[in-house]
Amino acid sequence: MTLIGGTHGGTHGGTHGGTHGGTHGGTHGGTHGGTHGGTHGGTHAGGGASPLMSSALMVQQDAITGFWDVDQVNLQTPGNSGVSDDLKYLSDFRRQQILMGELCANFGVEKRGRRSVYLKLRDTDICKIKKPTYARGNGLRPQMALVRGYSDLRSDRIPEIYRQMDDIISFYEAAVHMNLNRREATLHVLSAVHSAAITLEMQVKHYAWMPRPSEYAQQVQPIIPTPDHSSYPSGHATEAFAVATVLHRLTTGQTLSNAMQEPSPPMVFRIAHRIALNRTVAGVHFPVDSAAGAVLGGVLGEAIGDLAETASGAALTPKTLDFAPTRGRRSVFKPDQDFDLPWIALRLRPVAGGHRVRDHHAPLFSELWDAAKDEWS
Amino acid sequence: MTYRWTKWKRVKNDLDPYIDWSLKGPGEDRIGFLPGDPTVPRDGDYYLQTIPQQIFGDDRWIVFEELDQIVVPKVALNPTTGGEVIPKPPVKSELPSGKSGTNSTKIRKDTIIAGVVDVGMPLGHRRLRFADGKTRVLSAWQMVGDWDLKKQDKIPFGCEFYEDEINKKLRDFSDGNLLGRLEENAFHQALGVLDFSRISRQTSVANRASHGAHVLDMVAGASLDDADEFSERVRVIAVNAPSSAIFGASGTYLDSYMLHAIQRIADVSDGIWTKMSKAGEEVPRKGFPIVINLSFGKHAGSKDTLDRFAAAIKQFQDLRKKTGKSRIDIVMPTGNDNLAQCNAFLKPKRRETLPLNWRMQPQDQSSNFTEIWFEDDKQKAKKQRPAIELSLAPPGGPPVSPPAPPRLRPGWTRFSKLERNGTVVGHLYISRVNEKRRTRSEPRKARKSRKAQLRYRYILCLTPTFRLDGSPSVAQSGLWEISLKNSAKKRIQAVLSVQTDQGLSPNRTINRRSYFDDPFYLTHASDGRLLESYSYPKDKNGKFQNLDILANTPVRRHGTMNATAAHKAVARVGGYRASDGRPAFYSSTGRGRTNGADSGTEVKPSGGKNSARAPTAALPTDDGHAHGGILSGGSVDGSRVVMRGTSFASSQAARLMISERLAGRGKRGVRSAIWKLAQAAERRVETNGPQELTYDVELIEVIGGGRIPAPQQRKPRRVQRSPFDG
Repeated sequence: MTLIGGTHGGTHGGTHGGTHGGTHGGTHGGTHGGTHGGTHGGTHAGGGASPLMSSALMVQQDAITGFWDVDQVNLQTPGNSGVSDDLKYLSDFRRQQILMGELCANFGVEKRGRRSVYLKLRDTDICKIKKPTYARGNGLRPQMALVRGYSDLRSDRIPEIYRQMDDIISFYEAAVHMNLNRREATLHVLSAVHSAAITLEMQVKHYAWMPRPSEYAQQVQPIIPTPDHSSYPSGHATEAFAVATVLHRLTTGQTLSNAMQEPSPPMVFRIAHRIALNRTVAGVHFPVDSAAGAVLGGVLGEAIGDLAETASGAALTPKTLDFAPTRGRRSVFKPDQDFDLPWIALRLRPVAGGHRVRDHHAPLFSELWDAAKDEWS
Repeated sequence: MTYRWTKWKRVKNDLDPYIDWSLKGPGEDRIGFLPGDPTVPRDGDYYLQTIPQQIFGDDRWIVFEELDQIVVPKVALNPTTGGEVIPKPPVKSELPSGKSGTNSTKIRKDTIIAGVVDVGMPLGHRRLRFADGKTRVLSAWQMVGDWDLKKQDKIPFGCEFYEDEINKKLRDFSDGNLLGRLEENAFHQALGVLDFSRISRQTSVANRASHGAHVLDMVAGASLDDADEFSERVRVIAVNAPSSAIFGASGTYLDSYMLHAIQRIADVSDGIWTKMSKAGEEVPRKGFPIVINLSFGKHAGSKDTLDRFAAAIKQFQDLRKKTGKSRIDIVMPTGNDNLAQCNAFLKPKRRETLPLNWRMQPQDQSSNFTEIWFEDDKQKAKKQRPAIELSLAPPGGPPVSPPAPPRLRPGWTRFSKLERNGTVVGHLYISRVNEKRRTRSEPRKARKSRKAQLRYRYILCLTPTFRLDGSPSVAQSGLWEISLKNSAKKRIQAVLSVQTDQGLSPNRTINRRSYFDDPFYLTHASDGRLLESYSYPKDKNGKFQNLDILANTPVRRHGTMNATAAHKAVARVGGYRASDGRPAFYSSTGRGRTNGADSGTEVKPSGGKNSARAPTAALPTDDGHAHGGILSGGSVDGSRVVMRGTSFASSQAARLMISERLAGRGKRGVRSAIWKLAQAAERRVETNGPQELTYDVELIEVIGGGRIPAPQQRKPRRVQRSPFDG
């Protein structure tokens, strides 16, 4: 859906456009595309807007309305039929704006001290992301060695790396069948989660700013444009794990911690891992960036699931997980640690914190969530 | 620019010329010495070690001193020996017992050992396991794996894991369930197969396709319902070999690594046999039969039994025979250099000088080597001057001749440096090949009756044409002219070969291979088709045309055979296209022989299976014209990928050989067995196929005894079957 891409930026637009545009455009064609997707830029009921169409409508109006004396015509009384909390009267883009706004109103990002950033659900801390203590001098050398090693895989991964620059949802679709005809609500949930993750992660990135690998060593030479925002935590990892956590919960009912206790991480988390790792292969992230992103995204996805399944005003005990990598023996992510599946299975286990949250509020998203769950029941 | 050659000098410490070049010449390897190296060993350092190639318990093993010189990365080197690294037999208590247990399996009396030496072999694929999820791999030696992963005193370098350890790791990384999902990357990291963090890293198996995965699946992969109890009876001894970054761009240490691998496969197999035998288990009489696939090679070399690798293999086989041990069948590829313009024959008459153009490519970041071999059997003095003198003309410049070649005793090597304005840009090594040391394991009679030969080898080395460090030690790119002058009284044939030139880092394209650039060598016919060694199919007279004979050039496709495989000790397998039987254009060609001697430019059909320089047979390496390559296992369990090259003909032939052994056939040896299979296959084509595609002895130099259909590993590969499908 190109409309979202137009205003909402590359990541969301690409994601949403990739999944929605391809299937929606292809199957529904012009008519449905006109009604379903055509509000933002102004498409008509039967097709796209254009100067020709405007001219045609002008001629039509001129030809058939005759003299229009406003005082002689009683105004109609428009009904509000179709306008409901399922937001289906709105284009995808508008729905996403509302849903993301509603979701994000429940979260906050706060910097404390020089190195720590907190993700909060209302006033409760749910995730602390701390900069690695070894990110000074040559402390990141072991991480850089892994970047060098993964660069061997570049020629193998170019198609994935390039597509995932603006579309990650399609890669989940490969394992979990969904499109706008079937499981439309699920796609809207994922899209809202993806958008919320971007909005929040960018704040975390700003407060926990770290340079990209290519700024530490000229030999890295990434094969894609190096983004302007912080290397730490990885945005792709945050989004990929937030989406995976939510999608897994919708399809199985399992929480993130439970999923990580399976004999091996379920497929959607393997996909998330691969998406994150591909950014290291490309040369724009250290493995520790991806690990921080996986924690942030996992906790966010879990909190969104809790939020959606708890009625407004009812008590919610959010799950928490922090990420504070050091050189120490018991560090969550030592300098030479790779971002691999065993690490994810071991570490990506948020636990219920002590605080209760009552003032959360996401009724529209909750309604969509329920619809999405129904699609998998 | 002024070029000059220095006086001939002796090579210090009698190092192999390639090693000498990489250490002292402006080579591109960073190599240190142990012991006595004052620097602290660190990741990325390589150490030149003297590690004896010796057969245990047999003092008749002749030490090939050049083959003892091997470079090992620091991470893999056994540090406990203070630099005195000597291979030792496997520790009996660690070896598989052959009894079924928690992490062990029953080894049947009729077991066949598949020895597979390759790069990036995955070890957890289902096709390498039994129904209960236990591995069929008896041992896996990662030659440049992190020594610290196992800390074995008895192994000179790398890390080796046995069946029980592999099964334990399979459990560990499958959440305790051997039939569960395996975390392959973590499993491979624990076994030293995969390593992302070091300079000498091993990352092949993390790619979608890896050479080793493709080969291993073809040689030993099996479904549980395979015929002839393949999965039950064929057990694997795997040796994960280093990548070209460690072999050296020109395969400097390839021979040494391969010999260590072959010996280890034999030692582990024999060790298991002895252990089972002493425990009263049922075992075959002489040890388990072993079939080894070695999909490796390099281009330049003597390409006969004078080759040190060939001689070592022969000696190894002879000693096994003498000591009553089981036979080892070795299968190798013919190589993919057919159209690389890397082989030429010059035959100067008395006092004649013949030139040949050697093209250096620009922006080439690796050294280039040409080997020149010739014989002068009239000279019998102990100390002789080579009859061929070499001179070299740089691009656009006049020829520059080194001083007259020195008088040489057998085994001696001397070298001269080529300097441009005082900077070294090349070396020329001249060796009188020591043919005596290779003969000790031969019967006395055979040794005495053999005609005395005087064989010489020049190795011409030039620096890269581009260097990142800005060093002035770069060779000019363009045409260099090699001239050979014959000072003997008779015509002498010289064989010139450009050495293999591979990238030292994965997926890099900075190594550009030099080639012979003769104006009369045609790469394409007038209709735009690639010119290959022979026309195909048969012409209207029912003949395949030898296209090398038709061209008036010293540069030949004939003679491009993989030097490591061009001898009688192994079966050599080329490739063909399954859809129509056409020899694969890249599949190297044998040299061609007339009455047992090199025929050089006048290439004639060779004399049958004893023609050691022709392939033994060919197997499919392309599926069809639009489908290059063939399918086999990818890096990840269950995946299938297409790869192309004669390596995969070799691996299919190894599987066929294993099947022959399973069926109790092929007892005469691997070359005979594969030759027989090829002839039988061609008889079927003769009966069923169109006549223009049928076998003719003219093609012996590219397809040997014939074209064997691919052994069926899963389903037939193509919907439409050709006469070359089984």
